[in-house]
Amino acid sequence: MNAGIRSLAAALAALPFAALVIASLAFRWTWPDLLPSTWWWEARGEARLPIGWDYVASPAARAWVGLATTATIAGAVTVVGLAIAWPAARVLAHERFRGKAVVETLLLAPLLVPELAIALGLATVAVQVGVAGSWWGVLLAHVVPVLPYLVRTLAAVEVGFDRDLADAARVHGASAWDVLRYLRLPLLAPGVAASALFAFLVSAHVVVVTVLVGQGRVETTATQLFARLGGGGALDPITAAFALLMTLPGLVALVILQRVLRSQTDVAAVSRLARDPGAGADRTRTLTP
Amino acid sequence: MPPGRHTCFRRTPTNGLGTPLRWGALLLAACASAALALAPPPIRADLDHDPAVIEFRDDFLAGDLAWDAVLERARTEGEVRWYHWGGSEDLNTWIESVVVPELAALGVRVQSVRVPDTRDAVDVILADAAVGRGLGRGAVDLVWINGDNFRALDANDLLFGPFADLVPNAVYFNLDESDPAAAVNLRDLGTPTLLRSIPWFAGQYVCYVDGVRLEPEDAPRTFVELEALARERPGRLTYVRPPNYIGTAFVQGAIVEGSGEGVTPFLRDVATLEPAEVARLLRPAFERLRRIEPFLLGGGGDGARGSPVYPPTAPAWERLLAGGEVDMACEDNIFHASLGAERGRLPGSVGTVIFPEGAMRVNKSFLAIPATASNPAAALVLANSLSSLESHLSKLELIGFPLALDTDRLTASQRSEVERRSPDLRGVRYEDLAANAVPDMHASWVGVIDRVWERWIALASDDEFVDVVARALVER
Amino acid sequence: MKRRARVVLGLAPALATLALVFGSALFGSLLQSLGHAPHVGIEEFPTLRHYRDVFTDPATPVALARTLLTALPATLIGSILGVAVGLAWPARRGLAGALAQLPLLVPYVVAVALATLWLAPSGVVSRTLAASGLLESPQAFPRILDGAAPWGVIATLVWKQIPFTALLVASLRSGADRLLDDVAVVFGASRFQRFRYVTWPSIWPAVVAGAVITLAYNLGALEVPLLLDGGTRDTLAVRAWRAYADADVARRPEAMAFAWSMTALALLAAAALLALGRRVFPGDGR
Repeated sequence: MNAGIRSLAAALAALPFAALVIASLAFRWTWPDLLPSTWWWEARGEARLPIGWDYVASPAARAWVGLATTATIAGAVTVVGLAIAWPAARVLAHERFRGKAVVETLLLAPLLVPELAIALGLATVAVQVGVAGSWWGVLLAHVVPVLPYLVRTLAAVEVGFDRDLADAARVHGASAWDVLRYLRLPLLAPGVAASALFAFLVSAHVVVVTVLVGQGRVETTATQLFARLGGGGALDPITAAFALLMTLPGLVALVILQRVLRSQTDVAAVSRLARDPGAGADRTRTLTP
Repeated sequence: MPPGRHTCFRRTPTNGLGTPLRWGALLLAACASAALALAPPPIRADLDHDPAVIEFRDDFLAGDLAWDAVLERARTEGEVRWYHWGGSEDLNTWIESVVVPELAALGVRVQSVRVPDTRDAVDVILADAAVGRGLGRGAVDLVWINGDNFRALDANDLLFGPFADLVPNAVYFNLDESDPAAAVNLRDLGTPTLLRSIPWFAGQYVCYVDGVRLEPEDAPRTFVELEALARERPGRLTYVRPPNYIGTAFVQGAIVEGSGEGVTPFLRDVATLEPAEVARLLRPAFERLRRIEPFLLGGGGDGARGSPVYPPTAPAWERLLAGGEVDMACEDNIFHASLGAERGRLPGSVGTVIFPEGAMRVNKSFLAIPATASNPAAALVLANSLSSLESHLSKLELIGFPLALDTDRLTASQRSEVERRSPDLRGVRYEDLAANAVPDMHASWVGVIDRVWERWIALASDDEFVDVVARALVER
Repeated sequence: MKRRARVVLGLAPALATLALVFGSALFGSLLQSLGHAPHVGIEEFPTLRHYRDVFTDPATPVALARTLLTALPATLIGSILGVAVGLAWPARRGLAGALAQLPLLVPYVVAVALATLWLAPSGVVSRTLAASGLLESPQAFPRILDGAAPWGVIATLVWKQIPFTALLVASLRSGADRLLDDVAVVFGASRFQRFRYVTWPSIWPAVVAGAVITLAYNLGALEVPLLLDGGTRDTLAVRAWRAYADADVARRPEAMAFAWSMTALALLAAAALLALGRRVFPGDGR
């Protein structure tokens, strides 16, 4: 039975994407045809302007610019986020102090406040500060949804680091640098890398905040797709193609998780988070911004 | 209040003058022509302007600059940031492949900023002004605009000035204030453009059907026929929900037909009318829209409202037609069916129809330069370039955007060139389209109609219709 | 003293950023909702007029009902299915495990694109039914999107949230639990007994925590209902968005008032669910 549920869940998750690929390759795909009656490659010869993937690949579509912007902003957000969140995570993981619960709640708050409410406020603030419509503004704005997630997952990673080990090393004459170089970094690196990867994804997926703070001037793949989607009817090939491009960052992350970070992310390792259910919640929750 | 034309304009909706419409128009015309003779209109003093750019502006608007000097300055500025609705991949491609190289040859780099909604561009201009950025300081140099959005810039004194008759390609436009035929170039949904914007797109509300499911001959020509068709074949029609302009235009068509008085009562500011009068004019259309609702897509059939589906945008409506869910959809472009079929968005069997008969609204949208432009010379050069006959022809031929310039200003050979390069109208004739065209309502009606639709249709309010209208008039 | 400095220095960057960006955003929108929006020419601070407008607007109860009708079933169904999948989650991830995570790794806008493609009356499901002779026209297809009930929105939210809850549950099913489960089997416990007395106590904190977060998200979700629910009944978030996007900038404070009302609803609902979870299962958990 478990195997059945597993296959069902996997099929339900993955099968929809097959239709997306077909939709992106269609030229004319009317009801009730199961497959397009005319494919993109059959029509592209006669088209006076680029159609389907030809358009997506052309500079006019700005698809590549969008992907590059997405990657640059998400990369910068990840770096800034790590720089801010890691020290806080260390403190939360290893120290006890008065008001710790309050601090933890504060750092979790952006998860519980609807993104739209944050976006509407940020849009105005960004105008007043003068960063509206700029990469800087979007970068700063993205730190909000990324931060709570990073703090909690990094705290979970830090909890997993046994400080007795560091003490033992120091007793045996290791310098602070040695501890960092030979103990902390190798032991923490996979967990931190996984955290950073998810932070990157969170930033790449933020829509409403980017639209409102970026004022249409900062085009990421997510905002490009959002602008093309509108209720009702079928999905046109170009929108389908943009949806596929928007799937890319997640697919890359999946491959990295499966191949490179396998040891850190299988269930046994994840279960380490179980000591702190909240951390487990955030670890995955922030993938649904 | 600053002196000059704006003051004149704001005073126009005076009432109690017997025939306010005529008086208003006269007053307006007088104001406008008086203002034209004056020096460049003042620019908002509370903003921080670049003195050099102010000097250029004043010289240019006073007619003291040769076009070569503008070209020279544009080269120095080097770039122009053009904000436009970015939802059409055809337009995006045309800009990148035609406009960008053309301006590059003039030494100007075009940065086309694609906004999901023109309001976003207005937002940027308002935001720049809110932090004191004036001429030579702002982010937007040129914007494709009309209606409410133009009105917002006008109301905030954020337009560069009357440039339209000063660019060389102005020869293609009838900008003579004394000629009634020029109104379509000088009024933007009732707001006088005062030459602060130049026409760029000519819209005409037009509908299309999929001939496989509904023969163009069987398509409704009036809202009376539409109601009959909806009852006969329930669940196969719908329209875009207001306040999307395509949805509002559908409702406006119903109103013009339903009132029985044509478009004339709607050309004046709605604020000059009593709520009871407004309700009288709107009631037939809204009662019809309520009656047909059960027979629309998703409706419950006779007597049951069901859960009617109103698509949010024109492209969504188009997809409903392409997917076989509805039999008729409408757009703001007479060549839409032709282009849709060519690009695969619509089936090859699609045909244009005349609907609503005698109430197909026409209007133009414009290119305007905001009073915060950093590169006004480059903006002028781009606006001029986009107003050339060749530019309009290539836009017509490649992406089916109708000419916004006036064909009676063209030579016979130029006119035959236009004909040759026009896309197919797919089943209708120019003469029929022209014969059924009506001017757009005064912009003040839009907000009222949208709010009445929201209450009376979307929320199915039980209140008296007059009260719904009265509330909408107050909220506006 | 040194430890205290370490605590302060470590927390300062995160808390300062949060206060500057998140705090100022919330404060800014609160001020606007109270009538302070000079950048769009509105200055009547402080006034509760915009909140009064929101609460007396006949559209608000409709929007509230639509919001609840979307968020509550989505959270409930998502949690139940998530637990089912989570309990079946493979100890070692193969291809199935990898694929099942996909919904987590794409944004909601992609989920919207997929829902449109599959669930629209002219979509893939409808075509499949037509191909098997079960459907005559797209109109005959049940209205999953844009319908009387927000099934399409619920389905999309659930699709995204199943792997989320599942991963949470799987992460709590440690080796010890599985051992305990085996012991229970040996002692003849029924499937239900094993779930109730072995599995549930170990996973409920995660299930409640996951449900709290998804509920808060679902109540404030914008993209999915905005793009998939084209009827006449907007959710609170969609109404806030429409008020903000209106060409009339004077409606900005109204949008902010909507956003704040919605935020209050989301926080209250999350707190209520948390309290309910603690009350209903006080003895469970470890």
